[in-house]
Amino acid sequence: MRHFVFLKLLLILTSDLEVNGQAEFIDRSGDPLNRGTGLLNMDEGQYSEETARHWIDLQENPLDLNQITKEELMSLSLLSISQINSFLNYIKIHGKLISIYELQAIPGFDVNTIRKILPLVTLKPSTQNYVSKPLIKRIGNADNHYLVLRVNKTLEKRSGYYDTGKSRFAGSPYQYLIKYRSSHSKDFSLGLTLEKDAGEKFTWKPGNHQFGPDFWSFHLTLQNRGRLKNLTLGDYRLQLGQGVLFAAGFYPGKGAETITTIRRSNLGIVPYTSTTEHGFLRGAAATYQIDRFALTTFYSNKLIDANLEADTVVSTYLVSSIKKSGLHRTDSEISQRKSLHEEVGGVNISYVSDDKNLSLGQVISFSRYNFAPARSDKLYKKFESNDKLTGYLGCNFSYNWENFHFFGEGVWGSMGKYGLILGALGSFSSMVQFSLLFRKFETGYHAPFSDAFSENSTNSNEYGFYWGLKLFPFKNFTLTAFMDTFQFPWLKFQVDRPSSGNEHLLSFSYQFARNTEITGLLRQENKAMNDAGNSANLNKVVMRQRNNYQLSFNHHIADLLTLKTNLQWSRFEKAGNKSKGFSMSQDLYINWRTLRLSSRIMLFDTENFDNRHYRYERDLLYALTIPAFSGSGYRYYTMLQTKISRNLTFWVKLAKTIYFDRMVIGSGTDQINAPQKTDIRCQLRYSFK
Amino acid sequence: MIILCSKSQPFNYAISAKSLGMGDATVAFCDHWSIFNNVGGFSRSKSVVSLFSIYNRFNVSELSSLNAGLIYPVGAFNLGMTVNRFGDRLHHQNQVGLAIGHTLGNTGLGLKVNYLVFNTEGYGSRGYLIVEAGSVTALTPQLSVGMYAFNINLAAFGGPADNRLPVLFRVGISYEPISVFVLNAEVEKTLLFTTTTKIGLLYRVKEKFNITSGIQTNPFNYNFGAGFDTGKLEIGYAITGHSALGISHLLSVSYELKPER
Repeated sequence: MRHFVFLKLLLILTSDLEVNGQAEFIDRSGDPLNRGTGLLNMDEGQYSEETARHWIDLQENPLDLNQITKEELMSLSLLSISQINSFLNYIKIHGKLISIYELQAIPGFDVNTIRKILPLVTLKPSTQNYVSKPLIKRIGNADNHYLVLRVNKTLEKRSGYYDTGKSRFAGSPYQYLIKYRSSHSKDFSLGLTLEKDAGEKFTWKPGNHQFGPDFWSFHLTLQNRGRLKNLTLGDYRLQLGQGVLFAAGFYPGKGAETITTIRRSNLGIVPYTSTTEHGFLRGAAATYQIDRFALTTFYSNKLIDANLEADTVVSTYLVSSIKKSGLHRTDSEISQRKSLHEEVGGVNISYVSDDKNLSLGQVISFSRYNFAPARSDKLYKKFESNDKLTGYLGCNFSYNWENFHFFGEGVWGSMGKYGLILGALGSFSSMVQFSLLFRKFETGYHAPFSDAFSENSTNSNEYGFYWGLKLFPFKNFTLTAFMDTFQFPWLKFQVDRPSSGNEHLLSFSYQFARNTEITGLLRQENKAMNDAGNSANLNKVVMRQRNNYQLSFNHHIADLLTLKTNLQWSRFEKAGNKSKGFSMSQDLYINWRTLRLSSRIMLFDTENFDNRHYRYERDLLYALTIPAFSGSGYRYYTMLQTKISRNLTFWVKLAKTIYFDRMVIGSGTDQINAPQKTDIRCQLRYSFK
Repeated sequence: MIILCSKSQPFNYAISAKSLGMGDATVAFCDHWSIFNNVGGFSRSKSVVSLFSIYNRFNVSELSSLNAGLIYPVGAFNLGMTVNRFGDRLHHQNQVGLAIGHTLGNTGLGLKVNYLVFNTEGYGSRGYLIVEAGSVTALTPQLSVGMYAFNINLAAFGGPADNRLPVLFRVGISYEPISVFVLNAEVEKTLLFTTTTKIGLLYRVKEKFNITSGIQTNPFNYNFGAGFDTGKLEIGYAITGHSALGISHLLSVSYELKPER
């Protein structure tokens, strides 16, 4: 044992990480999305605000490495199965970690991996006398305890602000956000979010369920009270199995990370802190643990936005569509606000074996609406259910065998259709990782909170196979690839024929020394679509091909300065018509004392919207921006983040897009009668700690 | 002619024989002339240098330009000044630029502020402020990456939105596997124009003699050049050919006024 302690000390001293203290290379502020995870480096617009919230949540509530579970390690999406096994094995043999530097001694952990997970984990021992304090004091003294105030404005006026009549925006062009949060990992979480979108009006109309700002969200979660593992009141989401029935929505879709993002983690109840105004549950949920079994019950009762049409025959209403934008600016948007009553409830039982290798879950749930969906005469909606009440029965499993992991979920709905996910991932050696996934969602299958792996934006009318590969052929070089094939057995929106398609990706990243990285990506997607939109009842369907190529260069100069250059080409071909696009950007980030400056200049020139280029942008903490660019123009942004005092941080961002090929941006109520769009955003964060 | 001028990017083209000979693919290639070609690269020069070149396009004297520059290192920074003149008595463009460069680690950074005056007889003159910036990073002693942006302040002639001075980005690499051979490649994008790809080669025949060659796409140009370089004095000559418009000539001279300290 003494030898071992000595070895640990030696490791700490000879570490090739900087030994100037952990703070040197763990940077919990700044750009929480891009750093660490690397997942956002280059991708299409598949990331939701929930993805961003999830990563920020993990960073604000880092997991204790000495108590971390296998499921939690997998949920980070940063470690391979063999690394996770190797980590748990290390702790089993050598006991708890003494220092974060010890991670380097674990077989299979390289400096890059450690750098990525460090912002999300901690070694802070949770002291015994901490829990003995009353809850109200713990809430008041939490490390993660803050208030955020944010104001956004687009300087150019959209036509909704000066239109007269029904399409006039009711409120001011300012967007306001107030967010309060106090949480401690595995103990409690308390949060309140208030938001008014641009164009919405502050009003106090209890009859219309509006109390000041348009959107309110509150939650209180208590964790680990003896056998009561979780009790949540207010807004929450569920992440069960592979998300075929309930998903928290923060897993990115297909992208340059081809292995770890394929599997969803069984996280159970997740507090809701986002400003997306749909897709969450409002009510209560609890998890009760008896030995290896965990029983979760949940109930949600809330009003959602929907477009209703009167059914004159039986004098009731039918739901023609459910609205997800969360915008309530014009008369028609306001009339659709909170017009449909939604009730959701259920029970989930999960089992985890003693050696943590096998987990099983069984769920039964229902969702009920006070009005039934309207029957549509559109052929592609032929199989949609029009029941008010739908019941679901699902089961899921995950099993670990050596360096291979198997997972799956099947859900059967009372409309008579099912959804299924089966997958495997693993490491053949430290150099090769793979993933494999099969999904089948029957036409007509629909679960309102599902977000399982799929090509379609909803889990319905699809089956397909996905293969992913990740190679480390030599030092500092990573190669990832995926191939996905999919079939849509029935018609889709703007595809008037059962169709099929495929998508492939190949990407590499090469690290020159510690501070410079070059990444490249090739992506191709082949899919069917109507030749001319929806002009006829039954349109001719043709194949379209989208190609995207990217090259980017990242260079950190002495912690002070980061340069990022990105080149992107695209090709689009539909029925012999070819078009292309090109964009180029240069980023400059400066860290100087308490000041952070992030800026970009960008040129884009694409022939059409089919060639739009998505580019991730740094934004205020808790906000996410991945704008798409098409046409010809110039984009720049500058964001300044500064710590005014120990508790107070201030952000200001100015972003402007100038088009060279048009005099008007957008259409309808969002139209701007100028060739440019300027956004200004300010945010204050007060930390109570 | 107007179209030609607008694509020629006022005083933003190859200014030295070495650069023109390599098809203007010199965004990541550093020498004294970087003060013209990519201001991010000129902080490597550590001596006081004077530069002069004359460029005649398609044997039309009205399309000639004269360029001169001075590099002056001050402490950790390099200061520089450039002067360009293009045109004849009836229409000419004059530009004065002030540059600052600094090397941070293995990266050179530079910023240049230009004042460009268009003068057309009978129509008067008008001046514009144009900002350009660039960087060159030596990934390894053999391989460099360069990035350059011109008119980042979006100077415009006024009027409708499309009447802007050219907004241009360039990104490229310079690879020098052995000391006698350099391979450069870059892409250049001027907004509303097609992307141009450029490739250039340099071969040092003898210690003091070099020959260069390069090509450009959109429009397609071929380039050749030869140079004599003692370190203190550099003289170069290059030609570039356009299939429809013919041949252009460039002669450049640089002289080290005060050697490296």
